[in-house]
Amino acid sequence: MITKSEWQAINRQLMSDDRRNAGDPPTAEEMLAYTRGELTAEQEASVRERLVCYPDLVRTLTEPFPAEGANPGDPDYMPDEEFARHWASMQKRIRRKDPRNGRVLQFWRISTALAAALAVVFGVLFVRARSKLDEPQAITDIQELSSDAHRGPADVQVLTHGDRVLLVAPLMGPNEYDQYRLDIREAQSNRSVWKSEPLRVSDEQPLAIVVSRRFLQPGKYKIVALGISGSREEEVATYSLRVPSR
Amino acid sequence: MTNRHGGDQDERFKSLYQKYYWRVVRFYVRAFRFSEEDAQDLAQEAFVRFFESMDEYRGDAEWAFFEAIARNVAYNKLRSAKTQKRNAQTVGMDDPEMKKHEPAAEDGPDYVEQQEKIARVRRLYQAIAELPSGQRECVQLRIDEFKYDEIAAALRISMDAVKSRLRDAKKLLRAKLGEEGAFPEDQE
Repeated sequence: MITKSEWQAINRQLMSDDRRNAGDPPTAEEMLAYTRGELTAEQEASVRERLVCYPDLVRTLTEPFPAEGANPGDPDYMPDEEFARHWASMQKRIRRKDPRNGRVLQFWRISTALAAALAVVFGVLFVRARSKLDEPQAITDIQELSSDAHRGPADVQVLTHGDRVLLVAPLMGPNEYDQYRLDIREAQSNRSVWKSEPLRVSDEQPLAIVVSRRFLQPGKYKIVALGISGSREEEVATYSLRVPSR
Repeated sequence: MTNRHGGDQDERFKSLYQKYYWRVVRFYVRAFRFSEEDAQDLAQEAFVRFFESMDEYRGDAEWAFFEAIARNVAYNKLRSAKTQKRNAQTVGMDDPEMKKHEPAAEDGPDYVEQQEKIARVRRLYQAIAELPSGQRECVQLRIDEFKYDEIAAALRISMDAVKSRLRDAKKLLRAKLGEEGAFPEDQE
């Protein structure tokens, strides 16, 4: 007879072996989409497979999220003085500008946008003077990327033909980070070949980059959207992309 | 409090924080197995993110939005910890529980018995690994002591499906291994 502890040891071995094959645990994005039933059958199967390898994650799905708050007098209710202490420490974390300064902020945004636009124009003029190769070009090739969580990393998208392509990377759900950044990485080595500056993004606004075919050698790449909060960067979406030979 | 959103919204935030902060902390400890300290830090992080966007949501949508933020914050924390640990985790055949059954010496008195035990364990490992994926998922979670309704919730299937998959899996294991394939909960 095989004892219960032996069954459990066998199970741990299976999980360990499966982790090696299945890879990283599901992303937060995948988990949320999974709980909301927003994944395709294939994507759901992939999340299930990884959930079994990482049973700690299963507990996160079985425990109910608090639906009712505590009332004054309950042990869980936070008294005013404790809230005041928490509020003070929260101030360090709240980094966004006060919307009451919206006009000022708006002015600076417009100024920044104008300055950026001028910089681009002068930059283009400078480069144009140096070489005609990189003249400004109207872009007709626009490609909307689909994140791996929605599509499955095995089903890699192919970069459309054209010298320059505008890649649009939609972000799922409300934007929860102060800023975002895009990384283009080689799929195999995960080496970063290009990084964007941090970008402020409004809700439901996608991230976008213009990619020159001359910049990317044929091969597989991952475009990674990172959310930035203070000094922390977290991957929020990955878009696998193959650049075909010309 | 500063009047960042206007008095009403600040009061609403304060009220939600006071009512839910400790419940969210306990949720993190129970569901994500975070330490109390980490859970408090994450709960505050979730509330801060919520505060920064709360003026866009109202009513039920507001709390659903907070739940999404709270889970997101926790999953990211859990995932980064797991990704770091993933390659370091080797258990099972190297697990102390398994090692207990390795023979101490070839000429030891229990050598044959020990070898048989190892062979039985390996046969069971193989048999579970070969189960259809739906059955195998249920079996593995059940061995991990999840209840039927928890397995159903985790795999997003019905309780009936969990029961039927487990029943089929038990039959298959019994057919392959006889008594050796008897599930721990079915052993007398």
